[in-house]
Amino acid sequence: MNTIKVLNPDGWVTNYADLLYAYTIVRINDTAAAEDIVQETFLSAWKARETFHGEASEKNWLYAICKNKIIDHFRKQSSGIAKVVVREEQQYFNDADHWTIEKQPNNWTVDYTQPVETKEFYSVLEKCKQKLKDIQQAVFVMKYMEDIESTEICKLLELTPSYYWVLIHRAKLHLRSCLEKNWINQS
Amino acid sequence: MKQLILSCKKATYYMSLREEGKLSVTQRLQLRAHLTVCSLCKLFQQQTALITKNAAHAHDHSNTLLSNEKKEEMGRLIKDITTGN
Repeated sequence: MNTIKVLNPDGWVTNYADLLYAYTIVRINDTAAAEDIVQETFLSAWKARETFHGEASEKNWLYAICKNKIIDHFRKQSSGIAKVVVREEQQYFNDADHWTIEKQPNNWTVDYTQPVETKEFYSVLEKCKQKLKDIQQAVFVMKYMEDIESTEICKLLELTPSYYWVLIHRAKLHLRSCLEKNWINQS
Repeated sequence: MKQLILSCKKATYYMSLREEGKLSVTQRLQLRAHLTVCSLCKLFQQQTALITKNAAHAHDHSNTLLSNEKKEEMGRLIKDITTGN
């Protein structure tokens, strides 16, 4: 029963609820679902307390459980929807597959190699991400925020590779264009 | 010669595949050649790299907190299960 000594469930809410919630909300953009994930993380952690051997810190252990819940959320969300490539309403390219004037990238006056520290970037990114279709959001988060390989994402979300790459391509086109419009051109 | 020249649409699509080393030698060369002459796709590459590299740290820059009601509710729930009620 020394697992009880290592884990401190009485302090979980105070120490980790906000951290886990912030981690989750920027990934799934759904308040109610994010609250559920945090709560479920604590409940699952308690149920699995015997498997905690202290190799990871309590915090990292809770994060790992939370990450699994986030992926599970995407998996459930994806299981009910049709996975077909539909025509894009937004036109990024013309008939010759060259950039359209309206959607072509413009120079941003930022150092592309430096980490972005401005709050506006992240709040605009969150708003832009919300405009993506659920499935585009899921693949973007799993690939670039959770660092999962495409083959694994395809397996989890039951996607064909070709469909996956179209989703990633479009997610990038949308996010870049949306950030240029709402972050670069507004600041 | 025609198939050696990549369109912007294809070039931007290839960029994601390249991140996981999923391009053939020919495709890689086509993309590299395209990027040396196309400043728009070069910008796309730099800007999407900036987005994808920073996105993973979004939570460090988030001010969103869990509501106090929700926290109290979770606190009670944890207390119940850990004390066996």
